[in-house]
Amino acid sequence: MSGEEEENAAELKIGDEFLKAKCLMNCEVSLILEHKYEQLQQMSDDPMNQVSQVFEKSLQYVKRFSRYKNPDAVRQVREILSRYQLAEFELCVLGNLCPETVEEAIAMVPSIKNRGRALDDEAIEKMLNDLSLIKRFE
Amino acid sequence: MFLKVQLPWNVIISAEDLDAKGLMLQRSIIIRLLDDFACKKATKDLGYFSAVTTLDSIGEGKVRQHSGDVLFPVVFSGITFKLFRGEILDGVVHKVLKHGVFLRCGPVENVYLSNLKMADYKYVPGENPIFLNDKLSKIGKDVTVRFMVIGTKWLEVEREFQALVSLEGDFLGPVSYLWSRDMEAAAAGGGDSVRSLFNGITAKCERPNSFLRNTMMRAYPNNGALGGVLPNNYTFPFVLKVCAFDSEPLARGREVAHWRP
Repeated sequence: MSGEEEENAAELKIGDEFLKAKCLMNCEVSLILEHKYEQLQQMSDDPMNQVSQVFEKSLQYVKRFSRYKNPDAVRQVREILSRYQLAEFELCVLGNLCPETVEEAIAMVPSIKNRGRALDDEAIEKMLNDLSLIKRFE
Repeated sequence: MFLKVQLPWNVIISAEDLDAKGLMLQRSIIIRLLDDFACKKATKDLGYFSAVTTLDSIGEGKVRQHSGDVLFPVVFSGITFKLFRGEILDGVVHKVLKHGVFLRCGPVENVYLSNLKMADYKYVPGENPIFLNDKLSKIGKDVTVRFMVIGTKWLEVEREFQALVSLEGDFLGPVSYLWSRDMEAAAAGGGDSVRSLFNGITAKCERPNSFLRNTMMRAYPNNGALGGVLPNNYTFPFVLKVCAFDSEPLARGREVAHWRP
Protein backbone atom coordinates (compact mmCIF):
# COMPACT_ATOMS: atom_id res chain seq x y z
CA MET A 1 0.00 0.00 0.00
CA SER A 2 1.29 3.46 -0.81
CA GLY A 3 1.28 5.08 2.59
CA GLU A 4 -1.07 4.58 5.50
CA GLU A 5 -2.84 7.89 4.93
CA GLU A 6 -4.81 6.63 2.00
CA GLU A 7 -6.51 3.63 3.52
CA ASN A 8 -10.25 4.01 3.24
CA ALA A 9 -12.44 0.96 3.15
CA ALA A 10 -15.44 3.06 2.13
CA GLU A 11 -13.72 3.67 -1.20
CA LEU A 12 -12.28 0.18 -1.22
CA LYS A 13 -8.78 1.47 -0.70
CA ILE A 14 -7.45 -1.18 1.59
CA GLY A 15 -4.20 -2.13 -0.07
CA ASP A 16 -3.72 -4.65 -2.84
CA GLU A 17 -2.73 -7.50 -0.59
CA PHE A 18 -6.06 -7.23 1.23
CA LEU A 19 -8.15 -6.65 -1.88
CA LYS A 20 -6.93 -9.97 -3.19
CA ALA A 21 -6.97 -11.71 0.18
CA LYS A 22 -9.97 -13.79 0.86
CA CYS A 23 -12.25 -12.13 3.40
CA LEU A 24 -14.54 -14.20 5.55
CA MET A 25 -18.02 -13.37 6.78
CA ASN A 26 -18.69 -13.68 10.51
CA CYS A 27 -20.99 -16.63 9.86
CA GLU A 28 -18.21 -18.46 7.99
CA VAL A 29 -15.68 -17.77 10.72
CA SER A 30 -18.22 -18.98 13.26
CA LEU A 31 -18.55 -22.34 11.50
CA ILE A 32 -14.76 -22.77 11.30
CA LEU A 33 -14.02 -21.73 14.89
CA GLU A 34 -16.86 -23.74 16.38
CA HIS A 35 -15.62 -26.78 14.50
CA LYS A 36 -12.10 -26.20 15.86
CA TYR A 37 -13.49 -25.81 19.33
CA GLU A 38 -15.44 -29.08 19.08
CA GLN A 39 -12.28 -30.86 17.98
CA LEU A 40 -10.49 -29.50 21.04
CA GLN A 41 -13.35 -30.54 23.28
CA GLN A 42 -12.90 -34.13 22.18
CA MET A 43 -9.22 -34.01 23.00
CA SER A 44 -9.32 -32.23 26.32
CA ASP A 45 -11.62 -31.68 29.28
CA ASP A 46 -10.99 -27.99 29.52
CA PRO A 47 -10.87 -26.73 25.93
CA MET A 48 -11.09 -23.05 26.86
CA ASN A 49 -7.72 -23.45 28.54
CA GLN A 50 -6.21 -24.73 25.31
CA VAL A 51 -7.12 -21.83 23.09
CA SER A 52 -5.60 -18.38 22.87
CA GLN A 53 -7.42 -15.31 24.11
CA VAL A 54 -7.68 -14.07 20.55
CA PHE A 55 -9.45 -17.30 19.56
CA GLU A 56 -11.82 -17.04 22.49
CA LYS A 57 -12.76 -13.43 21.79
CA SER A 58 -13.12 -14.07 18.08
CA LEU A 59 -15.43 -17.01 18.75
CA GLN A 60 -17.58 -14.99 21.14
CA TYR A 61 -17.84 -12.20 18.63
CA VAL A 62 -18.78 -14.27 15.60
CA LYS A 63 -21.31 -16.26 17.61
CA ARG A 64 -23.05 -13.04 18.52
CA PHE A 65 -22.78 -11.42 15.11
CA SER A 66 -23.53 -14.25 12.71
CA ARG A 67 -26.73 -13.56 10.85
CA TYR A 68 -26.86 -17.06 9.42
CA LYS A 69 -26.25 -20.16 11.52
CA ASN A 70 -27.01 -23.07 9.23
CA PRO A 71 -24.05 -24.16 7.03
CA ASP A 72 -26.21 -24.42 3.90
CA ALA A 73 -27.53 -20.93 4.39
CA VAL A 74 -23.98 -19.64 4.87
CA ARG A 75 -22.93 -21.23 1.60
CA GLN A 76 -25.94 -19.77 -0.21
CA VAL A 77 -25.25 -16.28 1.08
CA ARG A 78 -21.79 -16.34 -0.41
CA GLU A 79 -23.10 -17.81 -3.65
CA ILE A 80 -25.79 -15.16 -4.05
CA LEU A 81 -23.48 -12.27 -3.22
CA SER A 82 -20.80 -13.50 -5.61
CA ARG A 83 -23.20 -13.06 -8.54
CA TYR A 84 -22.85 -9.30 -8.25
CA GLN A 85 -19.19 -8.66 -9.10
CA LEU A 86 -18.46 -7.48 -5.60
CA ALA A 87 -14.97 -7.29 -4.16
CA GLU A 88 -14.35 -9.82 -1.39
CA PHE A 89 -14.39 -7.05 1.17
CA GLU A 90 -17.73 -5.64 -0.01
CA LEU A 91 -19.27 -9.07 -0.14
CA CYS A 92 -18.39 -9.76 3.48
CA VAL A 93 -19.56 -6.40 4.80
CA LEU A 94 -22.95 -6.99 3.19
CA GLY A 95 -23.12 -10.54 4.53
CA ASN A 96 -22.21 -9.35 8.04
CA LEU A 97 -24.43 -6.31 8.35
CA CYS A 98 -27.43 -7.55 6.33
CA PRO A 99 -28.77 -4.15 5.27
CA GLU A 100 -32.51 -4.15 4.70
CA THR A 101 -32.85 -1.32 2.20
CA VAL A 102 -30.92 -0.15 -0.84
CA GLU A 103 -30.16 3.09 0.95
CA GLU A 104 -28.72 1.26 3.93
CA ALA A 105 -26.66 -1.06 1.70
CA ILE A 106 -25.06 1.95 0.01
CA ALA A 107 -24.34 3.57 3.37
CA MET A 108 -22.67 0.38 4.61
CA VAL A 109 -20.64 -0.18 1.41
CA PRO A 110 -20.35 3.18 -0.41
CA SER A 111 -17.91 1.68 -2.91
CA ILE A 112 -20.66 -0.36 -4.59
CA LYS A 113 -21.78 2.95 -6.08
CA ASN A 114 -18.40 4.54 -6.66
CA ARG A 115 -16.58 2.06 -8.75
CA GLY A 116 -16.85 1.80 -12.52
CA ARG A 117 -19.24 -1.12 -12.52
CA ALA A 118 -21.75 0.78 -10.31
CA LEU A 119 -24.52 -1.60 -9.40
CA ASP A 120 -27.89 0.01 -10.08
CA ASP A 121 -30.52 0.23 -7.37
CA GLU A 122 -32.60 -2.54 -8.90
CA ALA A 123 -29.71 -4.98 -8.79
CA ILE A 124 -29.02 -4.08 -5.15
CA GLU A 125 -32.69 -4.47 -4.30
CA LYS A 126 -32.74 -7.92 -5.86
CA MET A 127 -29.63 -8.91 -3.99
CA LEU A 128 -31.13 -7.83 -0.65
CA ASN A 129 -34.36 -9.66 -1.40
CA ASP A 130 -32.49 -12.85 -2.18
CA LEU A 131 -30.59 -12.53 1.08
CA SER A 132 -33.70 -11.97 3.16
CA LEU A 133 -35.24 -15.07 1.55
CA ILE A 134 -32.36 -17.19 2.85
CA LYS A 135 -32.87 -15.71 6.29
CA ARG A 136 -36.56 -16.48 6.19
CA PHE A 137 -36.16 -20.09 5.13
CA GLU A 138 -33.23 -20.87 7.34
CA MET B 1 -13.03 -7.97 8.87
CA PHE B 2 -11.85 -11.54 9.20
CA LEU B 3 -9.27 -12.52 6.59
CA LYS B 4 -8.15 -15.86 5.35
CA VAL B 5 -4.36 -15.74 5.08
CA GLN B 6 -1.59 -18.04 4.04
CA LEU B 7 1.65 -17.50 5.91
CA PRO B 8 5.18 -18.85 5.85
CA TRP B 9 6.59 -19.54 9.29
CA ASN B 10 9.72 -21.06 10.77
CA VAL B 11 9.10 -23.73 13.36
CA ILE B 12 11.99 -24.73 15.58
CA ILE B 13 11.91 -28.20 17.06
CA SER B 14 14.40 -28.98 19.79
CA ALA B 15 16.53 -32.08 19.46
CA GLU B 16 14.72 -34.06 22.18
CA ASP B 17 11.37 -33.59 20.42
CA LEU B 18 12.70 -35.07 17.21
CA ASP B 19 11.48 -38.55 16.49
CA ALA B 20 12.30 -40.86 13.64
CA LYS B 21 8.64 -41.63 13.09
CA GLY B 22 7.19 -39.10 10.68
CA LEU B 23 3.81 -38.75 12.34
CA MET B 24 5.21 -37.76 15.68
CA LEU B 25 7.42 -35.17 14.05
CA GLN B 26 4.46 -33.66 12.23
CA ARG B 27 2.62 -33.56 15.53
CA SER B 28 5.48 -31.72 17.23
CA ILE B 29 5.58 -29.22 14.39
CA ILE B 30 1.86 -28.56 14.62
CA ILE B 31 1.93 -28.18 18.40
CA ARG B 32 4.89 -25.84 18.19
CA LEU B 33 3.23 -23.82 15.42
CA LEU B 34 0.02 -23.46 17.42
CA ASP B 35 1.98 -22.29 20.44
CA ASP B 36 3.95 -19.74 18.45
CA PHE B 37 0.80 -18.57 16.74
CA ALA B 38 -1.01 -18.05 20.04
CA CYS B 39 1.98 -16.18 21.54
CA LYS B 40 2.33 -13.86 18.61
CA LYS B 41 -1.24 -12.57 19.11
CA ALA B 42 -1.12 -10.03 16.27
CA THR B 43 1.03 -8.32 13.65
CA LYS B 44 0.77 -4.83 12.29
CA ASP B 45 0.07 -5.97 8.74
CA LEU B 46 -2.27 -8.89 9.21
CA GLY B 47 -4.04 -8.02 12.44
CA TYR B 48 -5.00 -10.47 15.19
CA PHE B 49 -4.30 -14.18 14.73
CA SER B 50 -7.56 -15.95 15.49
CA ALA B 51 -6.88 -19.53 14.40
CA VAL B 52 -4.71 -21.84 12.34
CA THR B 53 -6.89 -23.73 9.89
CA THR B 54 -4.53 -25.96 7.93
CA LEU B 55 -0.83 -26.78 7.73
CA ASP B 56 -0.22 -26.62 3.99
CA SER B 57 3.39 -27.71 3.64
CA ILE B 58 6.47 -28.58 5.67
CA GLY B 59 9.84 -27.90 4.06
CA GLU B 60 13.23 -29.53 4.57
CA GLY B 61 14.45 -29.25 8.12
CA LYS B 62 17.77 -27.52 8.68
CA VAL B 63 19.92 -28.33 11.69
CA ARG B 64 21.04 -25.24 13.57
CA GLN B 65 24.69 -25.59 14.30
CA HIS B 66 25.10 -24.31 17.83
CA SER B 67 22.03 -25.88 19.46
CA GLY B 68 21.19 -28.96 17.45
CA ASP B 69 17.60 -27.78 17.07
CA VAL B 70 16.00 -28.26 13.72
CA LEU B 71 14.30 -25.45 11.87
CA PHE B 72 11.41 -26.34 9.58
CA PRO B 73 10.05 -23.78 7.15
CA VAL B 74 6.28 -24.33 6.96
CA VAL B 75 3.36 -22.73 5.19
CA PHE B 76 -0.01 -22.67 6.86
CA SER B 77 -3.42 -21.09 6.43
CA GLY B 78 -5.20 -19.24 9.15
CA ILE B 79 -7.77 -16.63 10.04
CA THR B 80 -6.87 -13.12 11.14
CA PHE B 81 -8.94 -10.11 12.13
CA LYS B 82 -8.06 -6.59 11.06
CA LEU B 83 -9.90 -3.30 11.29
CA PHE B 84 -9.74 -1.06 8.23
CA ARG B 85 -10.24 2.66 8.18
CA GLY B 86 -13.66 3.40 6.70
CA GLU B 87 -15.00 -0.05 7.57
CA ILE B 88 -18.42 -0.33 9.22
CA LEU B 89 -18.84 -2.95 11.94
CA ASP B 90 -20.87 -3.91 14.98
CA GLY B 91 -19.28 -3.83 18.42
CA VAL B 92 -20.35 -4.22 22.04
CA VAL B 93 -19.85 -1.50 24.67
CA HIS B 94 -17.83 -2.70 27.67
CA LYS B 95 -16.94 0.53 29.45
CA VAL B 96 -18.70 3.89 29.71
CA LEU B 97 -16.61 6.94 30.56
CA LYS B 98 -17.52 10.59 30.79
CA HIS B 99 -15.99 11.45 27.43
CA GLY B 100 -16.91 8.39 25.46
CA VAL B 101 -17.26 4.61 25.48
CA PHE B 102 -15.00 1.63 24.85
CA LEU B 103 -16.26 -1.15 22.66
CA ARG B 104 -15.17 -4.68 22.00
CA CYS B 105 -15.10 -5.76 18.38
CA GLY B 106 -13.83 -9.24 17.61
CA PRO B 107 -10.51 -9.66 19.41
CA VAL B 108 -10.02 -5.88 19.65
CA GLU B 109 -10.78 -4.53 23.13
CA ASN B 110 -9.81 -0.90 22.69
CA VAL B 111 -12.28 0.52 20.26
CA TYR B 112 -12.96 4.06 21.42
CA LEU B 113 -16.04 6.06 20.52
CA SER B 114 -15.57 9.62 21.71
CA ASN B 115 -18.48 11.82 22.68
CA LEU B 116 -17.22 14.20 19.98
CA LYS B 117 -18.05 11.57 17.38
CA MET B 118 -21.59 11.03 18.67
CA ALA B 119 -22.45 14.65 19.23
CA ASP B 120 -26.21 14.17 19.67
CA TYR B 121 -25.65 11.88 22.67
CA LYS B 122 -25.35 13.30 26.17
CA TYR B 123 -23.61 11.66 29.11
CA VAL B 124 -25.95 10.62 31.92
CA PRO B 125 -23.99 9.88 35.12
CA GLY B 126 -25.11 7.31 37.68
CA GLU B 127 -24.34 3.84 38.93
CA ASN B 128 -24.65 2.59 35.37
CA PRO B 129 -23.74 5.64 33.31
CA ILE B 130 -25.08 5.84 29.77
CA PHE B 131 -25.16 8.11 26.75
CA LEU B 132 -28.61 9.18 25.66
CA ASN B 133 -29.88 11.21 22.72
CA ASP B 134 -33.11 13.17 22.40
CA LYS B 135 -34.83 10.21 20.72
CA LEU B 136 -34.06 8.22 23.89
CA SER B 137 -31.66 6.00 22.06
CA LYS B 138 -29.28 4.61 24.65
CA ILE B 139 -25.61 3.66 24.55
CA GLY B 140 -24.63 1.82 27.72
CA LYS B 141 -22.76 -1.27 28.81
CA ASP B 142 -23.51 -4.37 26.69
CA VAL B 143 -25.31 -2.37 24.01
CA THR B 144 -24.50 -3.28 20.40
CA VAL B 145 -23.40 -0.28 18.38
CA ARG B 146 -22.79 -0.01 14.63
CA PHE B 147 -19.87 2.33 13.93
CA MET B 148 -17.36 3.41 11.32
CA VAL B 149 -13.61 3.06 11.90
CA ILE B 150 -11.86 6.42 11.52
CA GLY B 151 -8.38 5.43 12.60
CA THR B 152 -6.30 2.55 13.89
CA LYS B 153 -3.04 2.45 15.78
CA TRP B 154 -0.64 -0.45 16.24
CA LEU B 155 1.03 -0.72 19.63
CA GLU B 156 4.22 -2.66 19.08
CA VAL B 157 5.00 -3.42 22.72
CA GLU B 158 1.56 -4.69 23.65
CA ARG B 159 1.09 -6.26 20.22
CA GLU B 160 -2.37 -4.76 20.06
CA PHE B 161 -4.44 -2.41 18.00
CA GLN B 162 -6.40 0.58 19.17
CA ALA B 163 -9.15 2.02 17.04
CA LEU B 164 -11.07 5.27 16.96
CA VAL B 165 -14.61 5.03 15.68
CA SER B 166 -17.46 7.37 14.88
CA LEU B 167 -21.25 7.44 14.63
CA GLU B 168 -21.22 10.31 12.14
CA GLY B 169 -22.94 8.86 9.11
CA ASP B 170 -26.21 7.30 8.05
CA PHE B 171 -27.42 4.10 9.63
CA LEU B 172 -24.87 4.16 12.45
CA GLY B 173 -25.72 3.89 16.15
CA PRO B 174 -27.08 1.42 18.71
CA VAL B 175 -28.41 -1.52 16.77
CA SER B 176 -31.75 -1.98 18.50
CA TYR B 177 -32.35 1.64 17.61
CA LEU B 178 -31.48 0.97 13.99
CA TRP B 179 -34.09 -1.77 13.72
CA SER B 180 -36.70 0.68 14.72
CA ARG B 181 -36.30 3.02 11.79
CA ASP B 182 -39.19 1.50 9.84
CA MET B 183 -41.42 2.20 12.77
CA GLU B 184 -40.31 5.78 13.09
CA ALA B 185 -42.18 6.81 9.98
CA ALA B 186 -45.30 5.01 11.08
CA ALA B 187 -45.04 6.44 14.59
CA ALA B 188 -44.99 9.94 13.18
CA GLY B 189 -48.37 9.17 11.64
CA GLY B 190 -49.91 8.32 15.03
CA GLY B 191 -51.39 5.25 16.66
CA ASP B 192 -53.55 4.21 13.77
CA SER B 193 -50.76 3.85 11.28
CA VAL B 194 -48.86 1.72 13.76
CA ARG B 195 -51.85 -0.52 14.19
CA SER B 196 -52.35 -0.88 10.48
CA LEU B 197 -48.70 -1.69 10.11
CA PHE B 198 -49.04 -4.42 12.75
CA ASN B 199 -52.05 -5.87 10.99
CA GLY B 200 -50.32 -5.74 7.66
CA ILE B 201 -47.37 -7.64 8.98
CA THR B 202 -49.28 -10.42 10.66
CA ALA B 203 -51.35 -10.84 7.54
CA LYS B 204 -48.42 -10.98 5.17
CA CYS B 205 -45.68 -12.91 6.88
CA GLU B 206 -45.77 -16.57 7.67
CA ARG B 207 -42.52 -16.45 9.56
CA PRO B 208 -42.22 -12.81 10.39
CA ASN B 209 -38.74 -12.81 11.84
CA SER B 210 -36.76 -9.82 10.81
CA PHE B 211 -39.66 -7.56 10.06
CA LEU B 212 -41.39 -8.14 13.36
CA ARG B 213 -38.15 -7.52 15.08
CA ASN B 214 -38.15 -4.01 13.69
CA THR B 215 -41.70 -3.37 14.62
CA MET B 216 -41.90 -4.78 18.06
CA MET B 217 -38.69 -3.32 19.32
CA ARG B 218 -39.88 0.11 18.43
CA ALA B 219 -43.44 -0.38 19.49
CA TYR B 220 -42.37 -0.97 23.04
CA PRO B 221 -40.71 2.36 23.87
CA ASN B 222 -43.22 4.26 21.82
CA ASN B 223 -46.42 2.83 23.26
CA GLY B 224 -46.74 5.39 25.97
CA ALA B 225 -46.20 8.30 23.67
CA LEU B 226 -48.67 7.02 21.13
CA GLY B 227 -51.34 6.21 23.70
CA GLY B 228 -52.70 3.76 21.20
CA VAL B 229 -51.19 0.38 20.64
CA LEU B 230 -50.62 -1.57 23.81
CA PRO B 231 -48.85 -4.89 23.93
CA ASN B 232 -51.19 -7.85 24.26
CA ASN B 233 -50.44 -11.44 25.11
CA TYR B 234 -49.32 -12.01 21.54
CA THR B 235 -46.69 -9.34 21.78
CA PHE B 236 -44.46 -10.68 24.50
CA PRO B 237 -43.60 -14.04 22.95
CA PHE B 238 -42.59 -12.20 19.80
CA VAL B 239 -40.44 -9.76 21.68
CA LEU B 240 -38.77 -12.57 23.57
CA LYS B 241 -38.25 -14.49 20.37
CA VAL B 242 -36.80 -11.39 18.87
CA CYS B 243 -34.35 -11.05 21.73
CA ALA B 244 -33.27 -14.66 21.51
CA PHE B 245 -33.07 -14.47 17.75
CA ASP B 246 -30.66 -11.63 17.74
CA SER B 247 -28.55 -13.03 20.50
CA GLU B 248 -28.98 -9.94 22.59
CA PRO B 249 -28.38 -10.58 26.24
CA LEU B 250 -31.21 -12.23 28.06
CA ALA B 251 -31.39 -9.21 30.30
CA ARG B 252 -32.82 -7.18 27.49
CA GLY B 253 -35.52 -9.79 27.01
CA ARG B 254 -36.42 -9.54 30.67
CA GLU B 255 -36.50 -5.79 30.53
CA VAL B 256 -38.98 -5.95 27.69
CA ALA B 257 -41.08 -8.73 29.15
CA HIS B 258 -41.50 -6.94 32.48
CA TRP B 259 -42.47 -3.69 30.95
CA ARG B 260 -45.81 -2.32 32.08
CA PRO B 261 -47.78 0.52 30.57
